[in-house]
Amino acid sequence: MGKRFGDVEALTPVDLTIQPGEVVTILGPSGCGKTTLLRIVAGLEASTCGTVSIDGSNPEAARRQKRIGFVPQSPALLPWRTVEANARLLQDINRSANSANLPDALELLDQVGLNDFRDSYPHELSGGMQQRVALVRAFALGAPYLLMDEPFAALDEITRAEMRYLLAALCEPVNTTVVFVTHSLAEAVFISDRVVVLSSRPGRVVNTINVDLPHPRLPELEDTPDFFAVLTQLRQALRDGSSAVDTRRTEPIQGGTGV
Amino acid sequence: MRTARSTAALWSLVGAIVLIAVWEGFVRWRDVAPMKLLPPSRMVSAFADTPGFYLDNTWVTARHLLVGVAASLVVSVLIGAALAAFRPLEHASQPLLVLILVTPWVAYITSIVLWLGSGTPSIVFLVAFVTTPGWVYATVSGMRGADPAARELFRSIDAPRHEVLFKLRLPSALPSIFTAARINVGLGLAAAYFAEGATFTNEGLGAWGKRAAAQQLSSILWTTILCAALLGITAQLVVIGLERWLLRWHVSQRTR
Repeated sequence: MGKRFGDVEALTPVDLTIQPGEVVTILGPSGCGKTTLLRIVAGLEASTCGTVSIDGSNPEAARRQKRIGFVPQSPALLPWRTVEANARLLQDINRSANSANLPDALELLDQVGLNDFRDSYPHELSGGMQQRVALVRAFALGAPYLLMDEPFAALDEITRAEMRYLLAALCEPVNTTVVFVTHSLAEAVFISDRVVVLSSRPGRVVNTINVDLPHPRLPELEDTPDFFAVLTQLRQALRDGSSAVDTRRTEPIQGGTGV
Repeated sequence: MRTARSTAALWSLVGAIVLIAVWEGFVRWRDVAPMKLLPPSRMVSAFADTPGFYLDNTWVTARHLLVGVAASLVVSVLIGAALAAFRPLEHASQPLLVLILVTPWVAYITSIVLWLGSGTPSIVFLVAFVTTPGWVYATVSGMRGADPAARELFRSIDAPRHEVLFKLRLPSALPSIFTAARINVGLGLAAAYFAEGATFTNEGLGAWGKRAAAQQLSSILWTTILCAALLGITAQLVVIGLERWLLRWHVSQRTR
């Protein structure tokens, strides 16, 4: 599928298949269409051409069935709800579509170290803690698909590293399929099974790199030569993507299928 | 925080005492005619002579204010929610809302009485009518101001409209609704006082205030004004208390 905004081509047709339980990161420079791609998959944006198929159904159906957990760039916590109430927010809405075995939000809060803050309000938390609540809120939905739009972009480097360790730890046991959008190479390598590199606008897939690093992903992994090797490979792929930028007006989009 | 609030309350008390002292002193010093301005001490003694009379009529005015403001709040939130959801409807409603805002209600009270009859229905209607635009504008702007990321989050799980309204848009609109409440309480009280005097009723501070003015009964006139002012202050304090309780999460109510 692809996307145009008027005369501007945001995303050239992308053909991508993601396996169940796979963690795929979309990496690319600012404005390359990463977020647009994610929003189309989430059914929040319509593609100009092609289709998205989620287990054989379209994104709108997946949304209705609460099979997609979306994590926006900002934590988007509701300031009038406590941490616990925010963690349960997605469970409380559109209840008829809840899955039979919802994860325990309190258990998840405990897992991310926020059990003592369950009665606090968002303004009483740091940025990193707020983002941890946002992660818990998404995992508490028990959805088979998680779509994350640069959730750690606003955090400082130290907190950001902690958050990727936490995300990897949350992902390990649940076999959730994750599509993660980021600018950060380290983040991409650490949490992903596969990294899809997009070129500058109009975004197109310039490389796909498998990250064959061992699971579970622990912080020490970032000091290993294998990690650096993948990091270097990614950096090169990004450079190749930047040098391959075609700034000319492109031809009309041809139809594509799948994601 | 508590110390800061206590200090603020203490200073408000000091300000009130100074105001009353200056008022009393000025009226006595200048020997101001009672119909022009009565000293506070004479209002207090008029109240002390017949407290039941003033309390009963204050209660009548309070009821008119409460019912009118509450009715307009409910109706306005519903209208505001509809306008926030559909822009064409918002544009279409502008002429009516602006007309209500700018037209002096003194001018059309006769028409209201002809439609609804004298007494409570006309009074409550006027209070509700004049306070509606404030609630509507506050509701629309508050609901529109709901966090876009949170709106997207609700969309991502196909949240039904009523859940978006009650779990996101309405709580987001509360701060602006409370701002409107502070203004509407004063506006509604003025409308209630005026309408009681203009709708041929025998109850309420406005009815007795108008009668006293016609008969040059300065004590009754000024004591009804004092009671109306105290009613307004009480209503404002109730709004502030509710605001502190319901908006304890909001930046305006926090010290950090």
